[in-house]
Order: sequence, then C-alpha cells, then structure tokens
Amino acid sequence: MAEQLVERSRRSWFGRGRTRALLAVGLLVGTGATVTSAYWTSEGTVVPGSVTAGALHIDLDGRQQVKPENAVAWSGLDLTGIPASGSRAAILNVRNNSVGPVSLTYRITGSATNPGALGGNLTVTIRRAGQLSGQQCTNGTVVAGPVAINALSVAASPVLAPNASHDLCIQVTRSATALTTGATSDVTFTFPATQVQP
Amino acid sequence: MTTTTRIVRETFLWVAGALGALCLLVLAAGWLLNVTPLVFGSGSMSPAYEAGDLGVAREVPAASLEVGDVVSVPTSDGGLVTHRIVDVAPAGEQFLLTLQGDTNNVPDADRYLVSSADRVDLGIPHLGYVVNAATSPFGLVVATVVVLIALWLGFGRRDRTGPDAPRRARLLVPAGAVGAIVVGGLLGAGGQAPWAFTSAYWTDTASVRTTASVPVPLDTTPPVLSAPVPANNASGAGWAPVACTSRASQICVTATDTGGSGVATVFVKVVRNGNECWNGSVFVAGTACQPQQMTVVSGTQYATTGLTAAVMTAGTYQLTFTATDAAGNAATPLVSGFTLTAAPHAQPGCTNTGINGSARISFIDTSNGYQYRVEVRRADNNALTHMAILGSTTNVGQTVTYDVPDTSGGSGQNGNFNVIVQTQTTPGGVNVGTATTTPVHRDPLSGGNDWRAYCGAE
Repeated sequence: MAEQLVERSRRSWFGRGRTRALLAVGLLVGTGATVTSAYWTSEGTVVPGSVTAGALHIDLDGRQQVKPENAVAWSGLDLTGIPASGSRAAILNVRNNSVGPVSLTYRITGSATNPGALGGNLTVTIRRAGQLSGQQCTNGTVVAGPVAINALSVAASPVLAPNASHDLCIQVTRSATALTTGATSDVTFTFPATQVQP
Repeated sequence: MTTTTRIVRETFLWVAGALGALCLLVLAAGWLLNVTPLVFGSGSMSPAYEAGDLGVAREVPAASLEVGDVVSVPTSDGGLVTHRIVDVAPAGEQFLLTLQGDTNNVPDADRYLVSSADRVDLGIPHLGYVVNAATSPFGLVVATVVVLIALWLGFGRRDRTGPDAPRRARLLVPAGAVGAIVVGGLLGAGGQAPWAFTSAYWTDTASVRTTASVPVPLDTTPPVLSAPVPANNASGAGWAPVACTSRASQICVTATDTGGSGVATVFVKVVRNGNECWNGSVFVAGTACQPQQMTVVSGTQYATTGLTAAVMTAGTYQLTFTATDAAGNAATPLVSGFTLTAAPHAQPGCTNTGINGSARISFIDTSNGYQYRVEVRRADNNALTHMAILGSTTNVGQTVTYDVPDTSGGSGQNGNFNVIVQTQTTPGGVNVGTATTTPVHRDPLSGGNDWRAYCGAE
C-alpha cells in the first residue's frame, strides 16, 4: 500500500506523461511538414540538399593558389613576337582543388591591355580536351571563340567534380592588320568558379 | 517498475515532448512573425554561419536592408542563396542587391531584384544538420518511432494487473500518429512549412597572364653619330666656353638609330696633345686609355661623366666617338678635335696698403702649376719699369698678390703706370693667358724724397 502511495504521488508530480506524449506528436507534424515541403513544394523556394563543409578552390596550370589570388604568369603560352595572321596555342589545366566534396562550374573571361596598339587585334579560341597541332588547337569541344579576347566571357564547363580537371587548349590569333613594331599587350584569362549545389 | 526504467521513461517523454513542442512553436512563429529557419548547406558565410548551422531569418521590406546585412534571396535556378549585402541600389519600386559570401573574394555574378528579403539575424550551430536529416525518409521513420514510443509510454498500459485498455484506445494511437503526419504533410504541401534549405555557395577565381608583342624586324642599320660638343675644330680660352651645356663641363654627342633596335652604347676616347689620354678620371701618359662610356642626357644626346675644368687644361684635343645599337651594328666612328687655351683671368684688383699707401695687385689663380708674369710699364712710353714671376706653387682658387715697388720707374719720376698680368705655362715660356691691365700712379710723399705707388690714375 505504501509503495502504491509513493507511486501515485510521483505520478501526480510529473503527470502520467500524457501531455508530453501528445506534444511529441508535434514532432510528426513538423517532420511531415519539412519532408513534404522539401519534396513537393508549391513555391519552389525550398530545395532539398545536403550540407557540405569545405572550401572551394579552382587552380590553373598546376599552381596551387590561396587567397588573395593574383594572376600567375603563364609561361606555356608565349605570345612574344606574334606575327600578323599568326597563332600561338597552349594547353591550360583547370583543376578543382576544393576541400571537401565541392563541385564547381566556371566561366572564362579575357582581357588584353593596349587595345588600340595590339590587344584589340587578338582573338581567342578555346577547346576543351583539344590537342595542339603546331601553333593551333584541334579536336575536342569548342568552348569559346573565335572571339576577341576583350569580349571573351563564356560559361565554360560541365560541372567540374572535386579533384577533377579539364585540359583547355587555348589558341590566340593575331589579325592581319599591320601594327606598330614592339607594341605589347598583357593578356589575362580569368576563371571565376561557383560552387554547384549538390 | 525499477528506478532506472522510470528515469529512462521520464527522460524520453520530456525530450520527445520538448522536441514536439519546439516543432509546433517554430511552425507558429513562422506564421505569426514571418520567421524562417534556414539550413546552411555550405560555408561561404564562415565564420558567421558555418555549413550545417540553422539560421533564423525574418522577412523584412527591401527598403530597410543595409550593406552588411546577411539576407536570403531566391536564385534564378530556383534555389536560395544567403550572402552578405555589399551594395543596395534602388530600382523603381524594388531594390537591386549585390551579394558576396564572407569567404569569397568576389561578389556573386548574379544580382538580385527584390521587394523584400529574409534577413538572417541569428544562427544556431549544427542544428541545420538535424533539420536536414528530418527531410529524409529515414528521418521520418525515426520521428514516427519516437512518437509512437512516446504515445505508448504516455497512454499505454502501466500495470499488467489492471484491466485491458479498450480496443478503441489501442487504435487511437496509430491513427493519431498517421493523422499528425498527414496534417504536417498538408502544411508542407501548402507551402506553410516555414523552413528552407539555403546555399551559401562558395566562389573562387584564378587567372593566368602572359604578354603579347608585335615582332620587331631585324635591324641591319648601324646608328649614326653627329653634333659633337665641343664642335669639330672649336677653340676656346678655358674649358667652360666650349663644354656641353646639357650636362655641365662634359663632352656631348648625338647618336640616332633608324634600324629599330635603338642605340645601345656610346663611347668616347679623349686624347690630348697626342701624348696623353683620359682614363675616366684623369689624363695619363700615352694613348692606350679605354674609351669611356657616355650616358644618355635626353632624347638622343649622350654625355660623358667626370670631366672638370681642372682636368681639361690647355692643349689640343682629339675625340673619337663610337656607338652600337641593340642589334649589334657598330656606327662609323666620329673623330672630332678642338683646342683649349688657358682660361682668362678676372681683372686684377688693386688696394692701397699701409698708412701712406702702397699699391697691392691681387688676383685669383685659375690653374694648377701655372706661373704669372707681372709687368709694370710707364703709361706714356710703355717702358718696362719692373717685372716679377709669381705663383709657381700656387693652386686654383688661391689669391696671388704683388706689391708694386715704390721705386717703379726710377728715382724722381712720377706719373701713370700699367700693371699687366700674363700667364705662362713655364717660367719664361710663351704667354698663353689674356693680359689685363690695372692702372697705378706714383706720387712723391709730401715733405720728403720718398715715392709711393698708389692705385688708380693720377
């Protein structure tokens, strides 16, 4: 009898647990709402995804760069003394060096200084997985061009998976226009990368 | 019932009840306050919000957004991005937002036109992982099991010895659970579930640079030398009047190259009197000196360095200029010559010294190793009355003095005299300087037979 009395007093102190059990049903309401909204949404603002920890890094020409990233001198493409109507080409490796399972897409933009003297007379053609044939690129998939370097701005790629890389064959061609001897132009290719949501 | 099972039961009920209440509260807060929990799917807002954090966002009108706010906005591909505002520009009724992740080095490529946005004011670490897990079928199963256990603990039979629960009550539990899922599902399907999965996507850039240049044609044209200074066959008294003025006291020459590669080097060899040459600092015996390199003054004019008036003493000079261009073509050497005589002296001064006066001639020595000859001559017949050789050991800049003797012209004569200073290379040698004259006169001392020389004409 005494034990039953103690038992009852404890029950009355905490309740029998019915309220808490009913509140726990709220968990199902919430979960149900989250699941449904994630997979069957009418507003389109809720997209299911997985949480990704890491960091995004795109690197060129085998150079590992951390922020701040300055343009690296690309010795592979030597445009010194490029003749009228002449071309020069080289392969550039674009690599996803991200930390963690971070995939990316990238764009390619270009700039050539001194547009009046030389920069405006340079065009570029980019082929993914292309091959060098002398001073030209062949085969592969045309990503861009031929387009003036200063007008180059293309979304370049299928998704680049972590630790994957693309070999881009980049061919620069000078117009037939006669130009002042010795004129120079700094040519820069920039690859802005954006993380792809898994 | 043992104490341990009792503690487990109570704890389980508390936790499950709290979680359920939290879900209901969040749903209610979302409806009442426009609050949206955001699961951060990636970490470009680190360290403010890490991947897996649960952000608490509240919808605010775009007009109240400021640079520095963290906002969540829909992207063109139907997702959500949560980044920090770096620029707000009004665009009609709406606002154009430029966003950038805290760890990204460039702003997002897309800009976002919004009239309102979810502003993130608070982040709860790691809770996003939990919410994210709940969206999976596995999460739903776990939640269902938790709730069923909670219901069993709360409503199930407590005492084996008691009467069986009615059949109706046993059906109520699963029916209630399924009903709750259906209610939640309808809420979610109706867009009433106020949570969202947002990316805080990373960006990165890399760039390569190379330099293009137009080729320079082969240069076969040698450079040309012209316009030496001093000019060919020039002559001057002293170095200053004939030296180059573009660079003081130096030899200059003009070198041009029309071949395209440009002048690379210009040299000059300086020989004096056929028997000594300039080694870059002084003249040494012989003619075997190396040619000395000239440096560009301006444009196409080149000049020596290191020559001084003290080095460029009187004599006959021969200059041989040579030049090459960057392609290695050598210019035809340019040979030029000029002659220097000794520099003229300034007018010697005359001062009276002593109580009764005595004319003292003084002048500045302008060359090392020179001697000066001073002559006193009568003004009326140019007869030489006195002569002296001075200055064999004096140096440039020192004052040389000569006191005109009172006995000039002999006893008993007075009148005007000229004092003439001449420069000699060696005692008794040829005069190379320009003579200058200073008048003096001679008067008897009053009341005696002594005579004195005074400055100026009588």
